[in-house]
Amino acid sequence: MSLQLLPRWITLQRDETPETVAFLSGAALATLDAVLRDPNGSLPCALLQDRMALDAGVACLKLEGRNESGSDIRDAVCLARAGDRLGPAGEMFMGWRKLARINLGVSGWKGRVENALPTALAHQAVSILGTLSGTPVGQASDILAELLPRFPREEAGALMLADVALARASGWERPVPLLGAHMARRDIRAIAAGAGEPRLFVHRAIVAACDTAIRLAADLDLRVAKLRSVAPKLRAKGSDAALALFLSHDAVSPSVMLSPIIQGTLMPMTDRAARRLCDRLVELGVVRELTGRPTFRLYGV
Amino acid sequence: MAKETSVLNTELEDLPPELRWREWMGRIEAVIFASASPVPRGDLARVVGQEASVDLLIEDIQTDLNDRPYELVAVADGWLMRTRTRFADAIRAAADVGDQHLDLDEFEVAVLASIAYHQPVTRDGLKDIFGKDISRDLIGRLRAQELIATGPRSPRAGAPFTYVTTQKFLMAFGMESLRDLPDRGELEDAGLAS
Repeated sequence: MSLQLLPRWITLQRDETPETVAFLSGAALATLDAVLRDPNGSLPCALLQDRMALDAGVACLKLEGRNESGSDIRDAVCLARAGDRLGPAGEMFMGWRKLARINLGVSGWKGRVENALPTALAHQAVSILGTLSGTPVGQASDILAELLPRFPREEAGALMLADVALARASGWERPVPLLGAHMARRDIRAIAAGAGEPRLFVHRAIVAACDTAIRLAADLDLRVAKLRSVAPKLRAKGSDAALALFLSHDAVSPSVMLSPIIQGTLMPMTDRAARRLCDRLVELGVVRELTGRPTFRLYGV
Repeated sequence: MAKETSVLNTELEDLPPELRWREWMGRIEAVIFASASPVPRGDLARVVGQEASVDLLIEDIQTDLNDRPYELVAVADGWLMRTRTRFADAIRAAADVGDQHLDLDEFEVAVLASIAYHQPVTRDGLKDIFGKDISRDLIGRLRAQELIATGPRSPRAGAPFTYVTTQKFLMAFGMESLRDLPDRGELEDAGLAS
């Protein structure tokens, strides 16, 4: 059964009065909540989170005046070898990826949040996350209203903490990069300048973020169902471990992540076997080649 | 030395608040003064009370130093003390500081700046920017001074290394992050970039 997208009365509403926006954001958040609780047990949450982390990374780089695209980030992260620095774009994404993988139900999560944040904000995490109360959107906007005026150039870190607060208050297992990709630049500037109404801005961003997230979830849900259905046809040794990577990573590089050993396992795979597996998955129509290049190809669901 | 397991008293409960604050300020200034590299916040937090705000203490120290020839500045991953730039000539005239300052010629600085803006960038990428080959030597000198490091491989034939700037680069040029680089628009207006 495919996922229900947000009804049009939420996404097409143009009324900007605070009550309306708050009502729409509540409805959108509740719908996303139902999606993330995954009643069918089929949603590839890790992959969804990773894609959203990529979007948040791109958006935050823009806020910092950089113009790296999602493909630049993929190249940096997938082609770096042990010991290489990732550069600003890769590091931004890795911050969001790390954040989105933190299990908020396991003790020590605050320390892990601290590790994912940019240094300038890291020490703020524990104290600020301990003082919050209220609704998810209320908590997220309190964080932005507290941090952005003091650290106007730490948009990414402030948005990360806001998304952590949102996820905690919503009772989600892991932070979902929602505000990271959807807070408008002018709204962030306004909050930093102490102007405007942070709550209204966050409500507005939540409607857009939930719409995008649910569409992405619906799309990935279908794609992954196809991927799972071909799994028994794959006879390559290690193909299960390789599929697990596709189900949790935005992009997979056969030459770095699948060979000589499959990342996260001790299972060896030759370069040739890795490339053949990826070609086969493309042939079966369950993964896409993401770069359009003849070499250094990257694959993803 | 006598075996001593003295634990630093950070709360200083026996001092009146005003003196306690002064003592904390003194400790932070001393720690930063004694360190050759930037001191991260976590290290500073260890010498003052649980509830003390390192930021506020630093602000007070900075105010105290307003009319001194040195200052306390935030750099990439912490704080450090350094002389104010307007005394640079005096310092150079008085002492041989050859080993301390960066030994870069104008072209090397230009290459370094290009790497900062375009990172991760390969030598080929730099060649496109400057219209001539950037020698391995030059890159090697920047690496030896730890101003740049190798980044991810470029997805091109031979998988050449890219280069990225380091924390030391930020520190050397007094920046907290890459956002302190002059705006590209401003550079274009000044005719320094295209």
